Amino acid sequence: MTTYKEIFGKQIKNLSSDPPAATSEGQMWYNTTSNKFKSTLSIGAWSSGNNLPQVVAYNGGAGTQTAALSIGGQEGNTSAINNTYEYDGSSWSNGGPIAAFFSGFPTPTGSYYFGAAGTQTAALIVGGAEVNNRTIEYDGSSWTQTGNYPSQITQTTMNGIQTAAIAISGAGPPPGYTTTVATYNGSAWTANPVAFNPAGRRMSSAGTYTATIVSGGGGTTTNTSAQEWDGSSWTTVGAPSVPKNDAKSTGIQTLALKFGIGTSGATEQYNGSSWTTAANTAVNRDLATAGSSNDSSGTTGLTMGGKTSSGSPAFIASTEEFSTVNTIRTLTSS
Amino acid sequence: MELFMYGTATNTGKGFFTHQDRQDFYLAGHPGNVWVIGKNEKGALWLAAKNGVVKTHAEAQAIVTAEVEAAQADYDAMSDEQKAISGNRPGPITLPYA
Repeated sequence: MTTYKEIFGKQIKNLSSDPPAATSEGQMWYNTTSNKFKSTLSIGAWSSGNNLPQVVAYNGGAGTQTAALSIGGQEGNTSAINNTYEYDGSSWSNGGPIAAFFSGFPTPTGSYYFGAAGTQTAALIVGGAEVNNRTIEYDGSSWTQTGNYPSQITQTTMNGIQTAAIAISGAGPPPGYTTTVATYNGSAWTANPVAFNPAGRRMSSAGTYTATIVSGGGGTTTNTSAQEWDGSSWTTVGAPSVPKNDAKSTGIQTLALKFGIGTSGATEQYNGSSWTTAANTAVNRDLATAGSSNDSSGTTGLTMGGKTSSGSPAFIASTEEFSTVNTIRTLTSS
Repeated sequence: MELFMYGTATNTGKGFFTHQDRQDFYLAGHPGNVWVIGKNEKGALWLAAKNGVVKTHAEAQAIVTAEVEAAQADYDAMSDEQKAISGNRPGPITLPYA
């Protein structure tokens, strides 16, 4: 029989007590006190965050799990909201209103379905359900309109920061879906000569404006592929397990988290070459109806609000936080 | 052996379910504050600690179905323009039973 030493070149250590979980990820040892083989695994899971001040879906998201923004959205099937909410990792507070930039002020009709990127104190949104070409920047307290996007747009996916952002595809006025890739420098947009194919909307993406992973979304058909952007060209990479139209992503190109997939709260992680299944959200936030953070690692994330199933029996205010925790497990033969 | 138990409980936010809870038992939330919980000791203790109310599968399913039917009625009452914005008509939700 092959031994552990023959495979790994060294024997399993004997330890009288377990090492700290925080510093022993991937290690295996024999605990001579409990007479058990043990190992430390890094386990990702969603836990509940504090609820948003109101129910909301199709809200934009920016920032990180501990410094996030929930921007606009719908509170019912027909009404949009004016609010920006700021999250500090434990509680939500009011941020600057956005309604002045949308028709129907002070009761906006289209302040959702934005592309959104940036941080809690330096965010930007583009377009919206009321299809338009407006870019609006947030400074941590109020919104200001800046340089226009090259065309009218809704449901584009964005990455990056306020001074270096990328918007990928989306939908425009009929006939609809676009392949446009455009970059923003903090004041003006430039349409990139290299387009994203296939044309579509509601794709999920993570990364920066020069290193992005994009998957899902679609136009007349579902985009089943994933593609990486290196700042000048697209490369097709391993496809996600669940090729759904709508989802959200956070993280970076080499370590991304994709969630809100389909109708089961499914979550996947991307490591720069392939996708693996991760723990589901406890509450399904169907078809990318929830806002999400833009964390700098695929080991953390925040999903906020949404609808629990397509067509919505319920708009929700609850949030969930993804985290990865080192956990010591006893090894068994079963 | 039954795999799931059912209950209602209000999501109070942070700490309502933890990273460790998600390791200890299956948990899925549904409309009407209905939760499907992995049927083990830790799952049962979690529902009790959240002041939850244990339901049978039929009772939990009835709550969810009532929520869906109410949403369907709301959807059917909308104009075609509003429906186009809202998306699909709410579909049925079937709670797992095992």
